[in-house]
Order: sequence, then structure tokens, then C-alpha cells
Amino acid sequence: MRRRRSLGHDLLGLALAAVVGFPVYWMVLTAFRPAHEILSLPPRFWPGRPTFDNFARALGTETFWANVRSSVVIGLGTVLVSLVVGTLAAFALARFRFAGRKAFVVVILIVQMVPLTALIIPVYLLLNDVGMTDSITGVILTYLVFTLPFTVWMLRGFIAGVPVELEEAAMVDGCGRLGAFRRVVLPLLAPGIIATSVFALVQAWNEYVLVYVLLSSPEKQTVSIWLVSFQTSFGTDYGGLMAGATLTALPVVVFFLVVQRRIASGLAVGAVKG
Amino acid sequence: MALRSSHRPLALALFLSLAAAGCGSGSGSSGAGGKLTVWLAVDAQESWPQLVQSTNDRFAKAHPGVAVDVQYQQWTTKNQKLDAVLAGKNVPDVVEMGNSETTNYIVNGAFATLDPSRFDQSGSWLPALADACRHDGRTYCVPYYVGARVGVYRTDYFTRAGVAGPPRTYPELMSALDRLKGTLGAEDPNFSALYMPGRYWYAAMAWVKDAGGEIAVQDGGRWKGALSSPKSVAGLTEWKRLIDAYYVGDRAKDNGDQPGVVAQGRVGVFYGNTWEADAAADEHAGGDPKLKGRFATFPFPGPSGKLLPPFLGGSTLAVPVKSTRKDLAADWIGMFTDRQSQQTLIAANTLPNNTAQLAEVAAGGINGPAAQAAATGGWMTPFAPGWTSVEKSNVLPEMLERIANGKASVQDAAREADRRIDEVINER
Amino acid sequence: MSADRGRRRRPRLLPYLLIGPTVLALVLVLGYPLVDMVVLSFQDMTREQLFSGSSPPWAGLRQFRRILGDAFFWTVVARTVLFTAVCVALTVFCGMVTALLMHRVSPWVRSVISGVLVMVWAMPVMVAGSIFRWLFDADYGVVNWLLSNLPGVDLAKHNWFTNPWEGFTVIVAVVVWGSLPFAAITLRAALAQVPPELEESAVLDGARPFQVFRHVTLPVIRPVLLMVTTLTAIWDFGVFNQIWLMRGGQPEREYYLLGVYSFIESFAVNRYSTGAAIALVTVVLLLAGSVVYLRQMLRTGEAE
Repeated sequence: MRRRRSLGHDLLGLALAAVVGFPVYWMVLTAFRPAHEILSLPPRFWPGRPTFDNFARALGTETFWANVRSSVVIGLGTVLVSLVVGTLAAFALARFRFAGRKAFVVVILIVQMVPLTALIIPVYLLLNDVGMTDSITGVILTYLVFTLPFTVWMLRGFIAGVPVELEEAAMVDGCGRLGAFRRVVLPLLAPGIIATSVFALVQAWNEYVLVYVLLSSPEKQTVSIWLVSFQTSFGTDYGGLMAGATLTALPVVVFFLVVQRRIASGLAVGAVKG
Repeated sequence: MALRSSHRPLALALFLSLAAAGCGSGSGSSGAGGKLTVWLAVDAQESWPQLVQSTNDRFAKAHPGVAVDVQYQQWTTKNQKLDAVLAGKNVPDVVEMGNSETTNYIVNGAFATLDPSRFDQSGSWLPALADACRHDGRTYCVPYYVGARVGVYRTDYFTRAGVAGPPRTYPELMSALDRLKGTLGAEDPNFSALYMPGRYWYAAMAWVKDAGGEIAVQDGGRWKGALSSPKSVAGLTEWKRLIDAYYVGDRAKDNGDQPGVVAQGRVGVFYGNTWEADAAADEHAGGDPKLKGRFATFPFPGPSGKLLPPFLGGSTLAVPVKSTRKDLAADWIGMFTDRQSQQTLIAANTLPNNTAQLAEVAAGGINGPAAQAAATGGWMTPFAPGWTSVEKSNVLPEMLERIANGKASVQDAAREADRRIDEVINER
Repeated sequence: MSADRGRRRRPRLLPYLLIGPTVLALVLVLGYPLVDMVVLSFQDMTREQLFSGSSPPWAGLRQFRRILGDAFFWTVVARTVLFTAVCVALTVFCGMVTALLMHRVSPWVRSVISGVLVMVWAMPVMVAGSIFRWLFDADYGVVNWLLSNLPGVDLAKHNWFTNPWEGFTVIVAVVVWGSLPFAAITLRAALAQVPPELEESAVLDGARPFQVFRHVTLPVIRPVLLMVTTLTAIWDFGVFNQIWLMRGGQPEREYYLLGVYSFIESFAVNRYSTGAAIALVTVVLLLAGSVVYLRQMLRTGEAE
């Protein structure tokens, strides 16, 4: 593949990044703009006099750090649990034939087809009955059922992409099934796990309809609800909203970078050793 | 909901076993301990936090040991949450409701009845709020505050266009708009003498009311749309004429970001709430702080020769029927809405819930014109069971957009809107 | 049939233990709400029953008859199908192109692209909605301004949402833009699984790039590609947020897709049962649409 790399491809890639990234640029740009420049006409593509007012205002919210903490707990909790639980199920689906397998596949698929909005009230009532409304655990459990089917579905595809022969060779070499999985399958799964975990995190991080209904204490609410509060009845504080959104998006980007580096390098080393 | 009594216990037992393994930290929002849960809309947090504080202090003195937990809700998402919560068992003890939202909840049995004599000044409550709280002779909520729309103008633009002062009559208003259009409009093709986006139904309906028309009328206990009546059509036609003559912006917009747009400096006059004049100069609402002091308000004259009847949008406070502390809740509401508290609201540039204190709003202040408009008349959305459905299915904005964009004649668009109103307005 | 070969060491219980936690979580949290939704669609629930907790009257098939007999419902279905088809085709195509391109650019350009993709991914839908609404605003929009700079084009004050076809073009753009990171990053992850030696030897054998893609690359990434396609289809079919936000929370009837329609019936008009019935019909339609794929997947699934 290396031979086909060329300046043309690089330029094309940069053009693509520019087009796709424009709305992101606009968000960050707006975050640094004083309010009255935000709707200016003709539009300006460069900050005239960048200001940190919007960030100061966004960070000045009383519950901001509590909300960040709550988001982090919910986000990481959801990602970790759904990855562990989901990988197990995905492995079973990709590698075993068992009675009820088809039914399980169909259920996993159907579950993802149900519109979330139709489930808001029933889910609330269920959690209400077991006293888990306004509880972070309740939210994680709820998010889990929305990220799990996806995780299973995704990872199943990636496990299926790992040639069974590799795994069997490892088992012949004396690794147990678990050893073979850890040394052979897991390293090859790394990119899939990265993509899946980012997906699960983004879901949990940005969801605001369910979590708003499920949580009531201001300090437990997540940053996504905090973001909605920039749309006041007086009009939308676009500068504050965009500054808030920039702050909110940062952890996800950092998470991706960390996960990519850690998993990619760590597991690749493991693969060489195995 | 459906499985309330039959299958749910099984699911619950399973669920509980799982929850117990984790860390079920769930806590009820009411009932447990000495706590009173109050849901207020964010307006209280933004504009009169001191009122909430002083009420809580007074309440703590009267009921030591009862903590008050005030939770602020966004208008756009509040009712979705409220519906889910009211279906459950831990409900808030006090809920703020817009006066166009109450009827549907009342007819569906969501709120407890209240004894009006328990509340200060209940004899002089504004009809726009009190009527929203009454059903079949009983009272289900307590008026909180009201707002009325007025004209807001850029004082510096008026000076530049050579307009002497705020217009007092409709012809004076028209000549002021003509002058603005002739001077500022000539320099900037994006300048609107009057800001009137096509989906701004609170404004358009004011012209309908001024012409003697109605959105819907009650006929033998049933409601039906009245937008295609000759008087309503006359009002809509005049409204369309104004757009054609004085508004150059996008006609498919609503007034949602009105202060932000006005802050861009390309608007001479707009029709809005008093606070929107402040918001246009406040960066928290997307306004421009440099415009502080350049807006003034005036009672908006109507074509009929009287003041243009403003929509009296306001809030009320209700106690959910499932609340376990109805008495305490009523006490809190009582303190939050009594004469002393209403004084605080007036000081925060908001109109009070009763006619007696409405007269005390300083006529010369920024809110004077609004108080004048609210006192001389105004209108409310129909107190019909299905009114919220009409509002949420956007019948009025869609009709207005079709009229404003010339997609349909006033008559045709109004007839179609009436048909859609008739479909849902009587549904509970 | 590797599954049979490996059987000697495999306890029969193992697969069930592996899927156990997933099944448990789904049944506990989703089981009751799902059953509730289905039951609800056969009842006639009003707010009075919602608030009081009393049992709604049984309505049998009335809700379904009402929906399925309504011409408007079928317009919405047709619109949703068309919308989904366009979005999925564009998402998968753009995602594939991006993934392939990322394979062929210098490492630093690749970092730039993945950085941008993740930032797009991380942007909350609500914020993305605000930004796109703005970019396409009739009075202050950047898009109108940029396009008007082209010779012969005057889009000043052009409203993109007056004509639903134009409006849906914008909404499709938002949806495809929003799902591009998922498609591209996932497909790129799948491409990383393709052994480079295989492709190189095919090139040495004189295969053209397209032939390499079709005969070497595609078979390896097929499971992931199919998965991306199905998931995108499922999400786009039920799309709600983007339309809701782009229309400022007041979508006109021309902008109803099934997800929006179900929401409006439930939460705006308070016909909870009709809303549930629409949600159920949505699931059935989706299932019908994926039958071909499901059958194939179940068959190939056994071969894995």
C-alpha cells in the first residue's frame, strides 16, 4: 500500500478534512466571538477580537464541575460495562453455534430498531418503581441497553473478521481458549474496540432526552443537560452554547486519543509476544 | 402503564436483585423526610432568584424542619418530563405551568383543587391567569405572574429618521415605519422597519383579536376553529400587509431568537415582551451590550383605534394530585405569590398576578406600557382541553407561514387551519 | 465448519454463559418497557389514565386500522424509506471513500482526518443542529453567502426549508455528516484487518486497484460493511433529533418522518397509543426491510 501514497491523495485528504471539519471550526470560532459578532453579515471567517467571555460565562455555571463529574462517571461506566459484557456475547455469537443463537441475533437487531422516544415513559416508570430515578446507577443501566446491542453487533463483525485458524493454531500451541482469545483475537480486535468504545461514550455523553427525565437533582445532571440550558426563554446564548459545546467535546476527543494510543500500542506488543 | 398491576412485579423482582448488587442510591423526590419539591421554570432562576430565596426563608420560619428543594426546568422540555413523573409515584409538590398549558392537565385530573380564599388577593387575580386555573367552578392553580407584549423601538433610529417620539395611534405608527424605511431602509436593503417573522403567531393573533376575530369559539360545549371567519381574515390580511410593507427578513422564521436578531442592528421596531428589549442588549441572550439604553417601549396601537390586544402569557402554580404534602405545598405557593412577593416581582420588571397591583407598576418605567396594555385588555389562548395539541402540532405557525410566503391565500390557509384545529381541540 | 471441529474442548454451557449478562441486562431494563409499548398500542390510553394509573380500555386493532387507513401515514412511510435509502447510500459511500483515502495518505494527514472525524463525532447533535441551522439561515447563513459569490447565483435571503425537497437535502447533509465518522472509522478499522501481504501479492499478480478491492479487500471487510449498512439504515429510519432541531422544534407536516410522527402523536397530541402503534409499525417495517439481510446473515453466521 505504501507505494500508492502520493501528494494527490494527501491534498484530497486535506480537502475532505476541511469540508467535514468546517462546522466544527464554526463552533470553535463562535465560542471565541463576542455575542454581537456572531450573526454578522457578511460572515467573517476569522475571529476579529477573540474573547474568552463565552468560556468564562459557561464555566461560571454553579453546577458545571459536578455535571462534568456526573458525565464522566456515567460515560466511563457505560463504556466499560458494555465493552466487557458485549465482547463476551459477541464472541459467543461469532464463534459458537448454539440453540437460541438465531433468536438472540434477531433480538439484538430488533432492540436497536425501537424508537427511543417511545420508551421514555415506560423506562421512567420502571426505574421509579425500583427507586432508581435520580440515580446515576439507574442511568448507566438504562444506557447500557442502548449501547450493548450495538457493541455486540459491532464486535461480532470484527471477531468474525479474525480468521478462526489463527485462534486454533494458538490453541494447538497450548494456549487455552481464553489464552488464544487474549493473545490472538483481542489484538486484532483493537481497532474495533476503539471504534465501539468511542461510539458508546459519545452516546452516553451526548444523550439528553432520557437523562433529563431520569435525573432530577441539579448536581447529578450531565453536561448535555447543562448545554440545553443555554437556550433560555430569553433567546439562545449562542456564544455560551458553543463555548460549552467545545468544552463538552474535548473530553471525548481526548478519550479517543488515549484509547487509540493505549489499546493500539499495548495490544500490538501483546500480539508480538504471543 | 399497561402492566401496572399484572406482570410488572416479576420484572421488578429481577431488576431489584440486580440493583441490589450495584449501588441503588435512588431517593424519592417527595414524601421521604421533610422535603418539599418545587418545580419552577428557569425564569425564576434568571430574573428573580431573590424572590425564591426570601420565600424559602419565610417558609423555613413557618415550618422548621421542612427543606425546600427548588428544581429549575426548561420550558421546552418541562412537560415531557412532567408527564413521565406524574405517571410515577414520586411527584413534585409544586409545579409551575404556563397559562395555556393548564387546562389539559386539569381536565385529566393531574392537579389537586385549591381553596382560593387561602391565597392573598385572590379576589383581584387577573382573569387571564385565574380563568386558566378554573374548571367547573373549582380552582386548580394559583396565578404567579403575567407578561404582555408591547412595541419596542430603537430610540437612536427614531431620531435619525426624524420621528418625534413613540407612536400613539396606528396611523402615527405607520408614518414612523414609513420614515424608518425611507431613511435606514434606503441605506441597507437588510433593514426591516418592523420585525415581523412569518411564524410569529402571538403577534399575528393580536391583529386577529383587534379586528374582532377569534382563534376558536365554543359552541354548545364544543370548540371549533374560527380563523376563517370574516373578522379573523380581516385581521390576518392587515398583518400580511405589514409584512409586505415593512419586513425584509426570512418569512419562514418565528420569533424564537428575536432579541438576538434585533441586536444585529437592522431592526427599527419590534413587537415583543418588555424583557426582550433588555435581552437585545444582554449577551446572555445573544444580545449586544453596546445597545444598552437604546431601546424604549410603547403601548402598541391597533388598527381599530384601541391598543392592539396583547397575548397575556403568564405562569401559574399547581399542586399535583399525587403530592403527599399538599398543605405545605399550598403554604409555599401562598408565600410565593402574596402581596409582598408580587412587589418583588414588580421590582424585577415583571407584571403581577392581580389587577390591584398592576396599577402600581410605574407608568413611566420600561414596563409601564405593558401594564397599561394588560390592564385595558388582552387575550388568552382558548381554554379548550385540546389546546396544547393545537399549539404543539404547529397549526398556527404553519398557516401564517403559508400566508406570509404567499403559498396560499389568507382565506384558504385559514380554512385549512380551522380544519386542523377542529380535529384536536376537543380531545383530552 | 470450524465450530464443529473445535467442539471437543468446548463446554456446552459456555456460549450461554457468555451471552448471559447481555440477555439479563436487556430483559431487566428493556423487557418491561418493550412489552408495555406493544400492549399500549392495542389500548386507547389518554392522559387521564397516564396520570391516575387506571387501566386504559382495550382497543384491539383500532389504532392500527386508524394509522394504516390514513393516506398521510403512507406518505410518511414512503418519505422515510426514500430518506433512509439516500442517507444510507451516501453514508456508506462517503464512509468507504474516506476510509480508503485514510489508508493512502501520509500519517500526518491521516491524523488530521481522524482528528476531524472524532471532533465531528463528539459534537452533540443539539449543537450540530444549531450550527447547521445557522449555516443555512436565510438572513445570516454562510452557505447562502458563499454560494451567492459564485457567478450567476443569487441565493441572498433564500430559505432552504420552504421547499421540502431542498429542506430534506440539507437534513440529509446533516445526517450523513453526523454518521460519517462512525462509518469511516469503523470501515477503516475493518480495512486494518486486511493482511497487507494479500493485497500486495494481488497487485504483483497484476490486478487493477478495483479488482484488488473487490476480490481481496471486500471479502474481509464484508461483515463490518454489512453491519455499518444495517445500523445506519436502522438509525436513519428512526431519525428524530436532526429534523426536530433543524425545524426549531416545530416540524411542518411536510417534514414528518416516522420517528417525528410517532413523537408528535405521543407527546404533542397525547395519543400515546397511536404513538406506540406507529413505533411498532416502524419496527415491523424495518424488520421486513432487513429480512433479506437477516436471512443471509443467519446463514453466513453459521458458517463462521
